[in-house]
Amino acid sequence: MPDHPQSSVTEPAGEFRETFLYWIEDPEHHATVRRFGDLFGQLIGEAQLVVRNPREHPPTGIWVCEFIRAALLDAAHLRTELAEVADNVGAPLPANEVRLMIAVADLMPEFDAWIGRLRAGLDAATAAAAGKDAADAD
Amino acid sequence: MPTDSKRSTVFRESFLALFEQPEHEAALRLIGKVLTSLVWEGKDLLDAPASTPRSTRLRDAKCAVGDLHQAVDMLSEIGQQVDDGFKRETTRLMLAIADAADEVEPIADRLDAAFTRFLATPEPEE
Repeated sequence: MPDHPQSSVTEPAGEFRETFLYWIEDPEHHATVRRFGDLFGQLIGEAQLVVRNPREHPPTGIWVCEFIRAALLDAAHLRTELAEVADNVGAPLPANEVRLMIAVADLMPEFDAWIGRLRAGLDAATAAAAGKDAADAD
Repeated sequence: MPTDSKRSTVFRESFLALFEQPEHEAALRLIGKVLTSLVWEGKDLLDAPASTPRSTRLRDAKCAVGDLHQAVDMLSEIGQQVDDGFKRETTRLMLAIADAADEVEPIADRLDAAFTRFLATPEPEE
């Protein structure tokens, strides 16, 4: 399995996930797809006809909530990955791997609490914004 | 908005959320699936060296920490988008989210440091 030092956010990944880019093994291909992801994001940004354009359609409360929820879903993806790592806790592991597991396990409750707080706040805000946006539309 | 299991494995959800037309978003999700298949099939064609499952999982998780940093930046930026055009409730939410992003940044940094330390250690001989 290759190690891609360039994956450590030294170059922009654009709209591609790091977890996708990682699987592209050849460093040259990896760098090309990474650059394409960045270019693709810029092209989409320029093509304002297909994306939500704040200048023409000022974001409503509900849209802001949906966008935040999407970013939160991206953040929560880490939790899935770490849970897979933690599945191997019972296996005989080298000392450095055990140390990593302990470090991850120590941080997980904090991370879970953060996600939980944010989701609860967002659900409340979404419900409030849905009512408000509907009232404004009437 | 997809559930965790329906999430695109290629594109960030915060990117897909920008698309106004549901069919455009759906098309990109499909392209993401095709890209994933292509990469996996290409690996066979290229006769890639066998990977170590343990390293793979951990390195993949480290990449997910990279994605967390990106998501946190995105949440942070939402707070910077506040202007007079937003309703008071929306502005309050945007500022609260930016504060929440600041809260999680140290957690992401500590995870990143733990993975970096681990990956810098040579793998023990089998």
